[in-house]
Amino acid sequence: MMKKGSKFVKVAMDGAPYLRKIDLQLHNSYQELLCAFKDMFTFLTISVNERKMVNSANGLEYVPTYEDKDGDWMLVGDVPWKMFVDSCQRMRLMKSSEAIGLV
Amino acid sequence: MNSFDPQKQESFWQERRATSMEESLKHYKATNMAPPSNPRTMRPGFSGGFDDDLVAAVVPSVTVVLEGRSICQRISLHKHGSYQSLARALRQMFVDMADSSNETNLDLSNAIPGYLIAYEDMENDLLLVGDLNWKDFVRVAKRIRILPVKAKSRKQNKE
Repeated sequence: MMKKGSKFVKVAMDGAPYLRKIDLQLHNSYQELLCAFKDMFTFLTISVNERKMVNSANGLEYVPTYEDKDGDWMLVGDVPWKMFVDSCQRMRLMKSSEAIGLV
Repeated sequence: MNSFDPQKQESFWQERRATSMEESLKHYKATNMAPPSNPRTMRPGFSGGFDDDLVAAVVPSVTVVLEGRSICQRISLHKHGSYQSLARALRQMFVDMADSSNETNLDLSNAIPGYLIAYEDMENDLLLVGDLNWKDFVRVAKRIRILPVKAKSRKQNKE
């Protein structure tokens, strides 16, 4: 039942009416995480290399960000995977237009 | 203690409570146990039945809001053991169907056709029902909101 425990974090997407929850322990890499996003948000076209996601419904670009243990919002992908899983408190798929200074 | 004077009654019970607490503490000291600060810590590792019954008796039911309707319903999540059970209950609440024969493939996504089932948690975020395991969901769900599917394309200012 409990493999290595689970770490559920909230995933908010700008413009969506509700949030989702994802278990970070189920994945071993950023790539797997982005694939999970594809399954969860089927209207997103995801380019794994560029860490960019395009919403086919409105053509807008989204950037994956997360809130770390210090309460700061960071760009997903900068630190090693395990460190990310450890420090991630929640995630937000931010519209590129709002991700000023991050990208 | 033949008096029915409420004030005397209250102090009577206060005394009794104090005495029984002392007695309990004595018992724990005698047996070298730490007195329980919380019923749950009494039996570490035991997450069994008596806890759930206690919780079910004490935890209030959650409100179920169907967007657009002015009158809400209530549901007691502890009376259900799974998402499927919840789906069935919500269908009975909101879908006018005399025929319950197609219950076999009933789940959250088709319980109320045209609607999706979301919940508000303790941080006041609105999340889709179904991502967590049932027990965790029951613990965090404060209110259930049933939204029309078209709401997906609605732009909202979140955070």
